[in-house]
Amino acid sequence: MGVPGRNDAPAAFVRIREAPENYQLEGVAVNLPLTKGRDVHGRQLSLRYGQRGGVGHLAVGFLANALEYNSGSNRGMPLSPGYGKQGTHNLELQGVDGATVGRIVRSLGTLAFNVVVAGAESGPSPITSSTYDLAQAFLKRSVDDCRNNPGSGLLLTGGNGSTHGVAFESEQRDIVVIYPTNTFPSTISIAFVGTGGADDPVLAEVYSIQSRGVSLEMGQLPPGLYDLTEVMRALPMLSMQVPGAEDNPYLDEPTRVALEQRILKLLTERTRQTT
Amino acid sequence: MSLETNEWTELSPDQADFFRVQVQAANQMAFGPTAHEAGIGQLYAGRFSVDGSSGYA
Repeated sequence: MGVPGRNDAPAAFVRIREAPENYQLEGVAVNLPLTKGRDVHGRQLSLRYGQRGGVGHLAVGFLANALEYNSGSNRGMPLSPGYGKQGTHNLELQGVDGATVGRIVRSLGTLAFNVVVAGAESGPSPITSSTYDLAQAFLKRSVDDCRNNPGSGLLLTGGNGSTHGVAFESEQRDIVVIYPTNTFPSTISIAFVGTGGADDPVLAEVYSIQSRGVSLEMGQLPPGLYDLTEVMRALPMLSMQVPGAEDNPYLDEPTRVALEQRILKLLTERTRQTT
Repeated sequence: MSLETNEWTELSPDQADFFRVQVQAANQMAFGPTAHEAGIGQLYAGRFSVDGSSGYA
């Protein structure tokens, strides 16, 4: 899929038929980066031997092959053992199944129910994946802790009732809110909200963490926020949309490392409190 | 995974335009904030590293 707000990310739309011995893939890949305007239609037959990860893997493989074709290195040939030697790429996949696509996009849904919409970004390996991985571990750990220790935080639930984030108070009396904000590119937001006096505006820092970079948005919430519930009520007053890099540049390296240390400290705190 | 067939043909400009619009629409509707709030789940989310020795893994 493309990146919201950025329409030029490589994307693939793949139909997958499953047979006892193989998968038959057919689809298109658009916005391939190396040669503008050279979008492609592809057909692949993948033997099932050694296949793992299901249709998600197949879909990202389709796009990876399209990118390779686009690079001009191996046109029309089967995937070679030396695939990718020109450089290391990082592909990120999101997809929805055909039934979902069918519900939301009629024209695509008419094709079949076994349609996968998937996408990827390709580029140099991000130097910031460690921050994203750390945030992901922090999110999972915080949600688990909150489930196992009621009262240690506030679980955030989505419209369908599923848990998708958590808010808690840190030892420094900050309210910390961690939640995924976007599914493509995968983004985890961490908000640090101060708890000031009754008349003082409350400062909030919201970090949007992606594998390719971290951006920061700062703002103020109205005075008089003292507890989790009130903070959660006020937080949407900040813009919680993930800004594009053009609007909000990624943090420099020292600031990003400082954020990692802050997350690590919180992880240590949570471990101490809940074990 | 072993690929037995891997065929590619380039789309005509009209075809490319059509699919760009369709994929972008799916992107917005499946992965935008509204879909997130509606609880439309993703099929699979993961990060895959492509390297020279193992293809995508």
